[in-house]
Amino acid sequence: MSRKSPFSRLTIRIMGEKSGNLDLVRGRIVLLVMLFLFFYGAVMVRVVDATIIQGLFDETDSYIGAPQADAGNDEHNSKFRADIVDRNGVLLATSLKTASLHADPKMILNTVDTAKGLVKIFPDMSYGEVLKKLQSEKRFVWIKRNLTPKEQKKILEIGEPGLVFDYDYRRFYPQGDLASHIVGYSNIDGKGQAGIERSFDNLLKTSDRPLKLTIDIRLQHILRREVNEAIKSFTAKAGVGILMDVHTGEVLAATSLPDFNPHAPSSDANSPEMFNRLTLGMYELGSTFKIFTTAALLEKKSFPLSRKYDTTEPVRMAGHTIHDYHPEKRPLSIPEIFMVSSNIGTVHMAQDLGTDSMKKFFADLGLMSKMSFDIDEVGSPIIPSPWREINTLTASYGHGIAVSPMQLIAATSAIVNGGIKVNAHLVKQENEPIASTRVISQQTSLKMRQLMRLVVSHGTARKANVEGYEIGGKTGTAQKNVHGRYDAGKRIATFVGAFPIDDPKYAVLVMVDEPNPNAKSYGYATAGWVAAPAVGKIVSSVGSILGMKPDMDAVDISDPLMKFVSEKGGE
Amino acid sequence: MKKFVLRLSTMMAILMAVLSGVSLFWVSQQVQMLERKQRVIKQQVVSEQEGIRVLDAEWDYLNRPDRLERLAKRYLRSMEQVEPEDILKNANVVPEKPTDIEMGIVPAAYPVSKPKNLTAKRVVRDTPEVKISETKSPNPTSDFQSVLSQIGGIDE
Repeated sequence: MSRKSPFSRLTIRIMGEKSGNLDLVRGRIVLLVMLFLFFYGAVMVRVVDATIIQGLFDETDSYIGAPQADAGNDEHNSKFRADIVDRNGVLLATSLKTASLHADPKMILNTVDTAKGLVKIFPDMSYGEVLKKLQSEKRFVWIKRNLTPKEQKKILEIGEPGLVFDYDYRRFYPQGDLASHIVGYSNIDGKGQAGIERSFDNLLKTSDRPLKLTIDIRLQHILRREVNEAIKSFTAKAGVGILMDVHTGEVLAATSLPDFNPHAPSSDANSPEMFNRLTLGMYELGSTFKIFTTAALLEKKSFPLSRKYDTTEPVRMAGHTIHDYHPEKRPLSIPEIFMVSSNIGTVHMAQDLGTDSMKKFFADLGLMSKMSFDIDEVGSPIIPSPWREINTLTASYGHGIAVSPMQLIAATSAIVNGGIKVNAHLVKQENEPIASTRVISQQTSLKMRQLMRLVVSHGTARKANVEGYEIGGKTGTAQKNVHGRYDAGKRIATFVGAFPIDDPKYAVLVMVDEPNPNAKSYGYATAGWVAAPAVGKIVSSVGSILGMKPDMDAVDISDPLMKFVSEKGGE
Repeated sequence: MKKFVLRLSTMMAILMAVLSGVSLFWVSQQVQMLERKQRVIKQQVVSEQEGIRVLDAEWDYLNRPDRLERLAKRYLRSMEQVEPEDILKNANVVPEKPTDIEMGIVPAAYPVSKPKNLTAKRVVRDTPEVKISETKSPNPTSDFQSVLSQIGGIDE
């Protein structure tokens, strides 16, 4: 019995008139079978390709991406903040991705062992507290924010599925406390709390381009070092230093000591290191104001420098008596008054000038109103109200009117740079604006520079002199007003000046709060002993960084004034 | 009588359909593959950028002016801060390097060349007056220890 092949039917040839139709049907079936075979073949080829060829030989296709790479990329929740850099591009603040640890207590397999393991990694945590967190009913508890990579590795080694990492940006300040009052800091939620971090909070959050400041950290370091040195050697309470470009108002360096570590700012906002003395602190800056009184007199009255004022008798008015620190008791010319810093002489100059002229002149220099500045910590000057004649007299030598050190240096810059007002600023601009509002004439500016040079070459600030870089400036030692009374034991010593004085490029200010005499200062703690030497050291250090050429044979621009200074002139 | 005939046009159409189907499949596979690669590369770029940010921060941290100053003080003792008097305007006033004689260094011998036209007769010795003898070790031995001590290799 031979079985017939199942396909043998296909070989049967049906003859007849319907045979044509059958042929057609058969052809279609064959075609369909062919198509199916083809597609199965294609699938087979693809499977071989995907599993063997690509899967085994093409390594690059495997999954490499580190798990943290996609974390924290969520634009809206990310705490990313743009970098803050100094004028040379050195990082002052940057955002780096760090891991934070939280736990899902429901997923923890062994709470006791996990808590033990965590306490071993973080010795500052208490076992009981961690255990309590891990046993809570919540689905989310923070364990520790901002882990180091080492800590993260150790946690991974615990191998607990309920411990979850969260990746986000954290703010770092590579320069530490070097410029903390300028840069400021931001809190754990990525919100700016002080300085540039606060005033440019929105920009830093949305931009990805670094924000460039006018600060130069090399100069900042020198300034901070010398101000710190002055504070230490005179056991002072605090100090301020500023270095400014006199033509553009760029703040090249600014330090307020004590300062703070931006990674761990004090939680007490009133603690001394959190107080920005540069712009928020208002001080009666004493004799440095004689710069403005003298400039106003020379500008508005066009008196000759030889004009003399009698300083024999103290000035008495409205129950006040105005003395000189080192009374000369004779008529002094204007350069002599400026050089020996005579209060009485300056008061007589203010009387010549008149209240209105002086108030207007101070206002032109920006000393009478709150200054606009790139950070939010800016205070309003303390102006006598109402302003009586006695206030004019005391303001002429810097008492009874309190301004910030930043206002003082900006006003001084305007006096020495040829008479153009500058706007102090911290954020670098593409084309630094050259300010255009004139406050005094070129002529008066030159006379003021000569007078300021005289103070350093022959007057109260001789310790600020640096051979080669001609410095000019004015000292000011003011008694501090404590609860409405002037305390003779508490002083503020200030030096404000500019260099090189024949064509100033930079202004410099050092202020020391409550200095005490030290062994080397012969019982003195005045600006000439405290602030002036610090300025000298600063200028001799920054000169080479600023690319200045020292001129050892420079003609002292104060020489022409010597004819107005009598032989006895000195201290 | 109709016979099953595969017309050329039908065959072409089927072929085209198959070809286009295959190529579509192939292209879409390629696209998926490239997209996956691109995703991986993008992740790599992001993580490299993060790495660069960390290195940048570390670089500026290590180059803090106070740290450099401390290191310079410790390791570069002969380097001091530039003082104004160290900077000179005119290169000609730079003091010349002192000569050996000024420094107290006496040269062992100068090469001597015979002057071309001598008026007076002078004897130029070819050999030095003092006889130079080669330094020889007093008792040359093949002992390894003594050879070592001759060349100063061991501390006595």
